[in-house]
Amino acid sequence: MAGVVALLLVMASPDAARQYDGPLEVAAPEPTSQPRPAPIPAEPPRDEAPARTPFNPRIPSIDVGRGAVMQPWVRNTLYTEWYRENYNTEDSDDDFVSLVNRLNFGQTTRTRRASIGTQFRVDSQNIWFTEDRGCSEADGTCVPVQSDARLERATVRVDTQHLGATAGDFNVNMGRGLGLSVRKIDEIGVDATIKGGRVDLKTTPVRATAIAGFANRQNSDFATRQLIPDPGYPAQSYTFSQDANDAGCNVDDALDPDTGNPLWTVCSDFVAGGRIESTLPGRIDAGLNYVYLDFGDEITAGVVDEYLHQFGADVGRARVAGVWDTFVGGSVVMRNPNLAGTEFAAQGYNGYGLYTSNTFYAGTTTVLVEAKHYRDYLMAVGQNALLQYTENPTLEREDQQVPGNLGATGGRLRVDHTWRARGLTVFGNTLAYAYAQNERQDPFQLHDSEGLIATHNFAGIIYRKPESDFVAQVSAGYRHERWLREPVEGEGTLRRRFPHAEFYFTIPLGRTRDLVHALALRGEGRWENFVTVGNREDFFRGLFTVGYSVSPWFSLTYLQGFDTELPTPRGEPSLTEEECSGGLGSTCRPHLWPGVQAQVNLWGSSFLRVFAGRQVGGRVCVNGSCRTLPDFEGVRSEFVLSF
Amino acid sequence: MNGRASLLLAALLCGCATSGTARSGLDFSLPDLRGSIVTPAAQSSARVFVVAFWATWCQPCQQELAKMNAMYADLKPRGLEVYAVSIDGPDTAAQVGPWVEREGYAFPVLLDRETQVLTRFNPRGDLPYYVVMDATGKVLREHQGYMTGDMDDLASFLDGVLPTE
Repeated sequence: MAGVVALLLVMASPDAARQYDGPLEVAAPEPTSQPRPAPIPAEPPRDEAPARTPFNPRIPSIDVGRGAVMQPWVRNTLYTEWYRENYNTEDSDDDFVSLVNRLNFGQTTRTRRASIGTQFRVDSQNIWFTEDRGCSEADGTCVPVQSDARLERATVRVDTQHLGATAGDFNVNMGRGLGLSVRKIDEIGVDATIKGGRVDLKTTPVRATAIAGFANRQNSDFATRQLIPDPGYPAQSYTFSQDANDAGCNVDDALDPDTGNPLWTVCSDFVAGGRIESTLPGRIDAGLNYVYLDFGDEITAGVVDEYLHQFGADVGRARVAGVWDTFVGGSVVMRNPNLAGTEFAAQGYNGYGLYTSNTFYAGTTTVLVEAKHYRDYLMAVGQNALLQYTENPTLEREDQQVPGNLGATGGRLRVDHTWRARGLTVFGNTLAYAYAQNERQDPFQLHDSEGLIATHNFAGIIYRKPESDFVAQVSAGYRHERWLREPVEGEGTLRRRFPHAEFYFTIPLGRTRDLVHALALRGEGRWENFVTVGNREDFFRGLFTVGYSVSPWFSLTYLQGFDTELPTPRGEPSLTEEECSGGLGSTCRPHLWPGVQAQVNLWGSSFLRVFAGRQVGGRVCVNGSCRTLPDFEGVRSEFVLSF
Repeated sequence: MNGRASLLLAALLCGCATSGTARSGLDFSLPDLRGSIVTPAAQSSARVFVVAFWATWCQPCQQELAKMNAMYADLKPRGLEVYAVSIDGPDTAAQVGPWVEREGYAFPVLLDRETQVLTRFNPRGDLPYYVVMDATGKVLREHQGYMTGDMDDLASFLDGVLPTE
């Protein structure tokens, strides 16, 4: 009850979160003769002075009997948006207002020996176009931006000390991404799960995982508000059932044949597999995994079923001789072995991936050496599929576009040194790898012009002033990509090159009462030279932000992006002499991308964030929050309530 | 199923092989940098736990953990335990060890490669994000994002909920 009162107080006034001083769900263990759901710490209580009773906006826990306690929780995100323009070539996905809600709720019940968790997520979006879209839904010429509601996630999980079982949605990652990898990478990027069942064995000598289910991707795409079907939906057939009707995939009878049943995930790619790993004598960790993937989308749809087997193994050891961490992993993909000797034999092939990482430690100096060798290493139905099912390491930076990673050979070296007392770190990185851009290509097959080589060198410093919040980070580098083939007359071998530089400063300004004022400056930019057949582009792309924050309540940020790749539309400020002669998207795009963002923290992890303006796509960290944002022009508010 | 197998299954289900029991939010198990499986619930001497989620590519996370490291040294004697949970994916997982070594974190660093634990606490998956729990695993506080000064706020909170020395 106290928690409910507190919640009402806070909803009436954000300041109440700091003023409320009433009773709450207090931390300190209290003596009781009743069976407790969890043990009192073995150590005898210390001198427990009455702890302050800070505000806790959580829903009060519920005693459900037999010593079990249930903790319900709710986390809701409400987006209110005006998508004015996204600068693509389509007009039917512009100028609409959306009200999008992500309701996450669930509970965790703990007993003496188990934890039982349930988690649900209901997605809904309502779309209103401000004008006629200029397209015909009957003819299929409209971009599929439409209202929707669905049960996106549902999970029941039981955990004991040595065994875990999950029914519903779960993430999985095996063997450093070389094996199966289906996980939440970012709220607005790939957000996928497997919907089915999972069992985990968690003993000291052996850990094992077995999974089976259907691929489930977040259907409402944050970047566009389009509704995207799950990978493989609607399945043409499965190995275990060649008839779509038998497999339950008769989409004519489904509730929503376009994007799948809103209540459950069926008829998408089917995934099953497992992993077993153990710590061997000598503290050597070894693992084996197997994955079976049955595609819903098939190149030979209606003729033969397509699927693959993947076998993987890896071994690693931490601190060999106290100074060396090592990991080596490999996997083999056998795609469509049933097609060998048939007219579709080209769809049946094997691929493999090998990866190693080695870290050497010498005091506060570390040396990281990584290498990769991939050939036709593709788990998804195609390299442009929304869900790739693997994350074989690229060796690249997080913010770097990776031109090709299913056929690549190369390595990288990174050296870091830190002077802890001075708060100073310097680092340098060099990488090089040959790669092919498309499937079934060998990067070293020079006569077909398939192979390219990428090199990227960068270095930087990080300074964190001791006993202070002042941080300065500066880095710069140079990336070069070129064809491995002989130069073509008039074109040369250059594919892409750019120098780049980044900086990040956090400057504390002072304190007034309980408030801490600070300034955050961030910038990144690259001068790119990109060559396509018969065309050469030189442009600048960058983002600079200035943020002012008042911890713990408020931040205000100005963002200024630049992109001169295309001529700017008429009426827009231009940074080049080029003139726009066509329509938006394909031939014209603004050069200036200004925006303002404000965030008010309410309590806990509840907050209200509003952005207005333009924002170039890519990873952006603004005053403490990292997100990958799509190209956007309009207004977006995000209201997160957590209790 | 024979009798021996039944006994083994029963032991696994009831989790009664050791004295450890589920403690709500603390009952997750993750590997540390040396490959050992760590279950915070088994840490019986701590009174308050902070589980902080981070990644090597998240600059605000680095600031947060640096400040948390200093705070940890002050408050550990009063019963604070901190677990820094890295959600680095395959591309950056190899950088976690070097990063921790250079920073000299005094608290354990765990690896949540599947983001399973993160999404249990924070379905949105934002970083940085931390959750404060008491010894029974009850959530006392959670926080998303990092602004300069946020660790002062956390230190003040912990000072209030930790027993005095």
